[in-house]
Amino acid sequence: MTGASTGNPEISPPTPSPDSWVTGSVYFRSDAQGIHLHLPSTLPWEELWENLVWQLRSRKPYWAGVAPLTLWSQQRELDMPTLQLLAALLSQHGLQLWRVQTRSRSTAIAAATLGYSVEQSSLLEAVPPAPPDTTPLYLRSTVRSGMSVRHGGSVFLLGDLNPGGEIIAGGDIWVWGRLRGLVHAGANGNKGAVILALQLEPTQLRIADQVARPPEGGSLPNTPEVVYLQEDVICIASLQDFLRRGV
Amino acid sequence: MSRVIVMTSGKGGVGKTTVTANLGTALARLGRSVVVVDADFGLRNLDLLLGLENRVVYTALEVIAGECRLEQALVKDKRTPNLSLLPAAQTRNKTAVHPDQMRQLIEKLASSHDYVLIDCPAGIEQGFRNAIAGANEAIIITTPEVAAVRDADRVVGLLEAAQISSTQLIVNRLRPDMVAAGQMMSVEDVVEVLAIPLVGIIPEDREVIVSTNKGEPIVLSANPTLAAQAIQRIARRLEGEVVEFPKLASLGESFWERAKRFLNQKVL
Repeated sequence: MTGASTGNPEISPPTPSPDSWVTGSVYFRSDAQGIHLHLPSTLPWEELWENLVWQLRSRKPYWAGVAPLTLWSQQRELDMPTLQLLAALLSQHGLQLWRVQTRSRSTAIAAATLGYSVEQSSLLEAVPPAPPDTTPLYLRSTVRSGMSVRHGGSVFLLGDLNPGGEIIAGGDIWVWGRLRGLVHAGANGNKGAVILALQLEPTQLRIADQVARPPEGGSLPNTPEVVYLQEDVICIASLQDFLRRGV
Repeated sequence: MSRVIVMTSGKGGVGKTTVTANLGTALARLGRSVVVVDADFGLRNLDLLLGLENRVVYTALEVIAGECRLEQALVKDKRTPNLSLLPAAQTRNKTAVHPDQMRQLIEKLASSHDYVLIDCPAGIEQGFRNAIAGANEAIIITTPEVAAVRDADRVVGLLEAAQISSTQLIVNRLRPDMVAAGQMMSVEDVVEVLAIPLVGIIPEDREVIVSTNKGEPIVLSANPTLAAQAIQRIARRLEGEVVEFPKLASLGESFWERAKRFLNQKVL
């Protein structure tokens, strides 16, 4: 697929709002206190659970040892059985729930009864949004149809991105596998972001505010390729050519 | 330890119900006790394909509501002694049942059968969640078409999230001549995307339509077609036997084979 792709100057892709990295989906970040898990307040529980299980599985190879975890559940009401289920799932993946940060009274009571450290803030109090995580995200998994990975930093995927799946990242996107879905690198507007794939057969490519679809027909080279932005045009080059030109 | 397998696909019309009816029959003929469960509440079909429609008295819904015992709702297949069917209700829809109720029902069935095959409705909504609730394994059925594979991929993801331990693949309605001509996705193409183990390849078969209308599973035929043989092989693979996949070309019947089978049928 080496060569320029077909751009569409009329349409620019949606730019994620600053806090959408955090509010759209289940969101992990880590700091000195351990790992923080933020639950989105509006997503239906079943979808949230699916997303959580997938994230835990694909991140597990990159978490070392048992890490303490703080749960930020916002105004979501979690009863005792649900909290227990959640804690069990987390501990399966080497994460130890110890603190619950909530705006719901019933969640606070349930968490306290189960013996977790609880911090309750009222609904009126403004809670500062969690800082977007710009550290690289490493995933080992297949991103299947219907899945969406959103991350403020760069995303490194060891596995395939299947058609119907998407990765939207603030930084670079590296797919160590077949890239067949949709990718949006530099989604915050970073025009220097690149997309790299061992085998590039995308549905659509986006970097910063530019969109391109792959040229139709043509055979696929069996070599790694790099997608980058040059003067607002999305270009594709073999990894070799890209490096020869100078990074 | 009995095996509870949900037969699912995402997309409709790929042959879930037909494969469930035939695989259930094939497993029963290998001497296993099998119950096939129609989880398609509101659009039940499994009883038709097994030719058991007129023997349905109670359905899963009455069992769940406590209006009858589980044994009363099970319809035994006279042609296949080890096989029974738990029919779905035709009059209610998919929201009439809750995953927890389904799980309890399936647990009861599992305690008295070697295999519980659950025929899942199309889609990924409530009906799907009910159908997978009690399952510990899944078989994905897809046809070699882009849309079917896309939906199957979505379902594989949902099954992984539901922590179903084993998911295997059946590629249904394959046309070897079209694959050879490059007009149809090959089995390799499908497996490459879905990345799950393959348990069977079933070729397209006109007999399926005939048998469906008669309510007689194709695996019961005295001269099983290639599709029926493929399903019998799947049953043996589920039983743990290592059965090789036949070459693509031999999945398509030659003119002489078809003629021979036709003649055999006339003689018998």
